[in-house]
Amino acid sequence: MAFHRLPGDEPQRDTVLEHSELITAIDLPRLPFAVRSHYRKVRDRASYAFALVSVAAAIDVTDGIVHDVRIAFGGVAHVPWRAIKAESVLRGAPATEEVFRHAADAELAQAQPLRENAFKVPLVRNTLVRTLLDLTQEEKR
Amino acid sequence: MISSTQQRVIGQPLERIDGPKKVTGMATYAFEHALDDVTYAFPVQSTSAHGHVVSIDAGAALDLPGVITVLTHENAPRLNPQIPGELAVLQSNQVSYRGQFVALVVAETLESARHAAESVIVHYEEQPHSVVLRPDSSDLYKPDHVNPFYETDTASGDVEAALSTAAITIDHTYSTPAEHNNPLEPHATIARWSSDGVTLYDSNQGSHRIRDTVAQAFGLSPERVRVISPYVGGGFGSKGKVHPHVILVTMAAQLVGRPVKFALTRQHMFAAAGYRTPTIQRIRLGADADGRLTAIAHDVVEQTSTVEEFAEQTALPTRMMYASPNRSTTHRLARLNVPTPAWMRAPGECPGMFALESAMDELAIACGLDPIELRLRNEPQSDPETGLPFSSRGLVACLREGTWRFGWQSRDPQPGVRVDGRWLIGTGVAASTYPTRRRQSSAIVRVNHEGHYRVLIDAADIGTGAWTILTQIAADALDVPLERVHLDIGDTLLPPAMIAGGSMGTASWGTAIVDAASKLRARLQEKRGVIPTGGLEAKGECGENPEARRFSMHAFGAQFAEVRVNRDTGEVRVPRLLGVFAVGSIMNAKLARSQLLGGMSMGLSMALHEESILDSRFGDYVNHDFAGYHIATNADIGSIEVAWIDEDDPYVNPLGAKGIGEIGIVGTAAAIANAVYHATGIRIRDLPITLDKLLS
Repeated sequence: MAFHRLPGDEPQRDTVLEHSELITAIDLPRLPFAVRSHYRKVRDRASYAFALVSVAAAIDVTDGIVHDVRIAFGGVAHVPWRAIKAESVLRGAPATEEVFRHAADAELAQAQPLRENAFKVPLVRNTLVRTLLDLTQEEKR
Repeated sequence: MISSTQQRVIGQPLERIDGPKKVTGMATYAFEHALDDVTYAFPVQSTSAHGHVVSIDAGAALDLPGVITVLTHENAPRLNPQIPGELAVLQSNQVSYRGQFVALVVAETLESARHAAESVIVHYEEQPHSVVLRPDSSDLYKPDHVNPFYETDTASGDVEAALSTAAITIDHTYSTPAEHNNPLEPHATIARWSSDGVTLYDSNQGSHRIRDTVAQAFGLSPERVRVISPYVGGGFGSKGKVHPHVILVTMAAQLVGRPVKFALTRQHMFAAAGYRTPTIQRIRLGADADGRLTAIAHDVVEQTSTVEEFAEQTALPTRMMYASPNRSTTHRLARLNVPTPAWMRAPGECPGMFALESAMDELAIACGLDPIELRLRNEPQSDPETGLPFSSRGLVACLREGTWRFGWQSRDPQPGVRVDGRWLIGTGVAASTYPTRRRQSSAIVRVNHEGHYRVLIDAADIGTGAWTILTQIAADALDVPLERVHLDIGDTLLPPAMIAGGSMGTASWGTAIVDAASKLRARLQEKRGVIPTGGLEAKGECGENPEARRFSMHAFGAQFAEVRVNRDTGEVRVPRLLGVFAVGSIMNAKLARSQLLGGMSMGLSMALHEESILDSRFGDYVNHDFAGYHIATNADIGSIEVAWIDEDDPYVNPLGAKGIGEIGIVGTAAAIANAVYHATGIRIRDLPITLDKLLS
């Protein structure tokens, strides 16, 4: 079960926590390839601001092919957004800028921006592509 | 003029005299004055933007422990109906904007007052509201004058004809958003009535002005109002005038018969303490093929409230900046259901020069000229508006000095071609200006038989350094060491003086002090230097400057910016700013640098961050705190270099000081916007320059 929840009929509830419940432990399973990961936070000023969008990514590339990948977005929905569609496009595909762009588009195809936050769609696309490029180019070095 | 045999202290980079008191917490700010039997106030603000109060149910609030009274329009003391509309607080049931004060709770503690304020139930009869400034609104009107008493419109020559025949024309509309002053110390007042009248401990930019307005409101003779304000934590114009809370707390103290403390919260300040009007500015420039201006037109649309008029003088600098035979400026206002705009650092020049200096950059590009060369070609020989000669005009010197300091010579004008990794790099320049004036002020200088001097003047130090600078001026004017001079400011028992505003403080106060000192020295000379046991004193004055009829007097500057724009995200960084200023004589090199640096930082903040966002459905500023209203953080500020050129102007005042509180913010935003264009090829004409406007 996901911890964060979408607004639905109870927009006052951000998480599935009920009254009198509290978090006692967080289990983070080992993900060896995430030793190479990036978190990029894009803000309206350099410090002391919420993310307009943020991207967290870890990627495992062998011989130029994406073996596995984890991607999450912040600032684009009521919940931290796991980019499942982008991940599935990437798995088994070549680690190229073109593929990264295609993966981002696949994730964002169903985005429903409003007038004042429509810029977040190209912003998160560009940020994801750059984050993946930074990660894979780092790997090449 | 000052004649001194001592080593002059004017100009020296002395530390702030009040610094140790401030950093050790010994400087008493308005809210901190300890009074016996004190009570606390917390307001109720209107949740309607237009309409009237039908009923107020204060029963639940009055039942809470510690609550003394709830002031509403039904029980508030009646004020002089002649006071400005914004100050007629609780005088009727009318609601003119969201956030207007409709009630005030007075309680034994601040917590009780705040709790009770939430329990006051107000019912409104609402009317449709109009809160959005639109350039094509049908009910724009022409005010009688613009702040404070400048002509609303000016015209000379034939702008339309010149534009139609110009080799090159620029016609663009620029906009600046509403911005809030947000001094560090929120507005605060303590009021205490006694048989002598009322005493206010108040955070303001000029106690006499507060005194006179409060006296008028309450029908008191001014002597029955005393205002005490020795230390003030910033103002940026928002503490120059009386705001409604001062009236409200004075009424409350009268009603409860005990002292009342009232500090605005940060959120209150977005409705109750003034702000810079949003502006929509159309600029049209015509030039010949060599870039010489043949026409300048600047048409401004901005807002005021329905309770009081404030007309910002946004096109003012366009009247005197550049030579052109054909020129016109206009100002039109929309009367909206919003709080009344007011002064914010360089009202007029600051938003106006964003538009003009952006347009000049666009003209330079259209002419294929370097933007500095364009400005040099349009340098006027005399004030284009009045025809008067300039007492001194240092714009060209500042541009030339900045050229080599910044490394402008090697600049490639091509936009969007300099790349460092994922960042595009660009540079920009803009001019700064601010009028040099002075106003009526008086000072008394006393000496006792031990040779210790006291300088008495109701000046205000709002963080500018006035405590220090006025002491330096007095020491030189008296020709005595600094340690022998003691200054008293910030109290209406002292001789009346100009507010800390319009960059006129040092000029006005300093002139009065120099006059008093010279008179005292003459008296001492009469007594052959022997100070009588009772001591001696002399009163000095600063009046209007007679030279202002012969000369046009202004400070100038040139601001340079380097920006980096991220190619993926549109994030803008400003690693480097340079400001070169021609501002007459510098009174204290360290404090002057702080003032100019602060102005430029605020200009950067205006360029990239500051924007009060109005919710048109409700008429309130939704980002009314520091999480939502962004001001540049330390991380947003890179290198800021401040320089000034030597300028000896004998006409402005005996000190030769032109005033530096505001010019630093004038032109910064345009320099940054121009640099953003140079980096990206994208022209941003609507501030602030946020990344969404640069994403391709």
